[in-house]
Amino acid sequence: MLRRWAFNYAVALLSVVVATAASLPLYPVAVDLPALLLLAGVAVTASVGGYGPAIVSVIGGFLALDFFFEFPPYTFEVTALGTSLDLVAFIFVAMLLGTLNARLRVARQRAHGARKQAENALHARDEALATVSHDLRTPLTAIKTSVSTLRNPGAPLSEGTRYELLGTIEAEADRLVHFVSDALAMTRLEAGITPDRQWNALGEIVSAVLDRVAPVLGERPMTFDVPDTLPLARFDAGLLDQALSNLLENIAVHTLPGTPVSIVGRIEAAGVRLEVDDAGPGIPHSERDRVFAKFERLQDGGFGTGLGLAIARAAAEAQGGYLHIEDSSMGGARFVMLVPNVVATEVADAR
Amino acid sequence: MRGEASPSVLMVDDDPHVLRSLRAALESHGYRVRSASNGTTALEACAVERPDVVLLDLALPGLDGVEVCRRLRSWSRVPILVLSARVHEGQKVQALDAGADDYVTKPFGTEELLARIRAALRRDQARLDEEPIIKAGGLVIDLLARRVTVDDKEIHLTPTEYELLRVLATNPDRVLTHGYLLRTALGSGYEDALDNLRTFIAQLRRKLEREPSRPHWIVTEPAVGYRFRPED
Repeated sequence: MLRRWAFNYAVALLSVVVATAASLPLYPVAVDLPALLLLAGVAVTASVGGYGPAIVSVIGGFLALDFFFEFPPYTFEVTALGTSLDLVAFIFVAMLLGTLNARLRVARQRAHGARKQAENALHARDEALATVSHDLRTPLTAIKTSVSTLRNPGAPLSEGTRYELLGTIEAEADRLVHFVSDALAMTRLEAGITPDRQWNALGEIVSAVLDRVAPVLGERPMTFDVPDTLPLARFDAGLLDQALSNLLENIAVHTLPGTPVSIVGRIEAAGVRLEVDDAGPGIPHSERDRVFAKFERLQDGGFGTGLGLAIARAAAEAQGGYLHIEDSSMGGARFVMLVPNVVATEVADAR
Repeated sequence: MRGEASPSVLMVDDDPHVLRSLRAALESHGYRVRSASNGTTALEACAVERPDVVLLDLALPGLDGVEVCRRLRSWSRVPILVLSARVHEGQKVQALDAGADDYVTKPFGTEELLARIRAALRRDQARLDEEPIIKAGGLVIDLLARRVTVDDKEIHLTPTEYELLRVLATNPDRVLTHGYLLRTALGSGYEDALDNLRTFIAQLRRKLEREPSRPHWIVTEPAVGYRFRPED
């Protein structure tokens, strides 16, 4: 950086010296040459180094012109109107080229940034593709192998083995279904959907979601604090359901059976607020954004599709809300979701 | 049903593999099975064969599933079980609004499908039997006396609350859409008043449910409607 800076100013001074040296022997014959060459020097400096060096070459050029080539020679007296006009011309050229140069540099940086971004996106896509093909291939392989064995066994299969193979086929098919549904849900959310905001009672939705995911949560003691006396709010219940179900399923995967989970729901001025706390291992600060990325699994396990939290966050954001992680007083993670309560939409639409 | 030994099922789906595997599953559980691969032949088959239950895929070529529901309902009360893929969430609500009884999300397990078919047939039978007293655990609704008790304690309901409960309870285990409940239970003038429906449901739960914020009998189907759960 510093070297670049020094180089630019060196160019500025050098342009003055070279232009002056080249003009001196020819000056008596070509009276306009010094001004033209010094101007060319300003132009070169401005396009290479920008404003700062250009100003230096303007001042240097003007002084050289005044000292060597204007009457009286070898003094810095400004006598002729021409010299002052030279100065104006110098500054004008310097400004113009300096501006162009600055713009060029911004454009170049932008192009560089865009290329980097595209490269990162491509890289992320390749990684996602690798995960997807792995997650699809593994269950498919298990299913194909089991089916072929059942159809063409090398030796007669025992009843136990047949039962086991059929079990594998069903379990792996379930895994595929889970994965494909999650991938479809993610694609739908990423494509962008218009929230369908209706009057809803928060408590009954949270309660319905809890009933549905109860088999997954198993024996975990539940604290449910979403009073049925809360006022109604206008939000997309389907999207809230999707976010909360994915969140709870994620908690079921990442916390030990029997550890407590708590849900608190409130209608606040800022919107509809849900806090889901668990007593699991918690999520360190450095990981709190990464866990929401697609196909991201903190511990490499066979559980889950790596899309649950990504779907939960996308579903919250699809209706203008957010989902983030804090520390829980229960020792694990606290997921905070807030979605807007858009009561005024109808009024706005009517106008 | 209808006096015969085994109930008959009409399956409507345009995928031959789905039809083949469904047929195997249903026949092995004693159902008589007919199939149709599009909406028009499905309507004809319903008129001719008079099935006891219809399994209807929503994504059909030509006449779509929702339209089939609507036309079928104009002359038949046969239970319709909609099979829908997750991508057609909106269509699912439309189909229920058009008169479908229940839905199963594809892909489903055979156990789940059989349970839904049994529930649909039971409901149909109950409708024919016209039992005037509905019992669901501690909840008893006497439709003749318009009297509701929970654990032998009489519950006083407003006419709207009672009507809402009656519509729900006479359709056990069936998802009733917001639109359907507003039309039938709250009546004209309330068709768009979802906030009113929520308020009535909340009042009803506070009077009936043992734990109103974690309701047992009146179950929420988020973004779709409500369902009455009869078993305790």
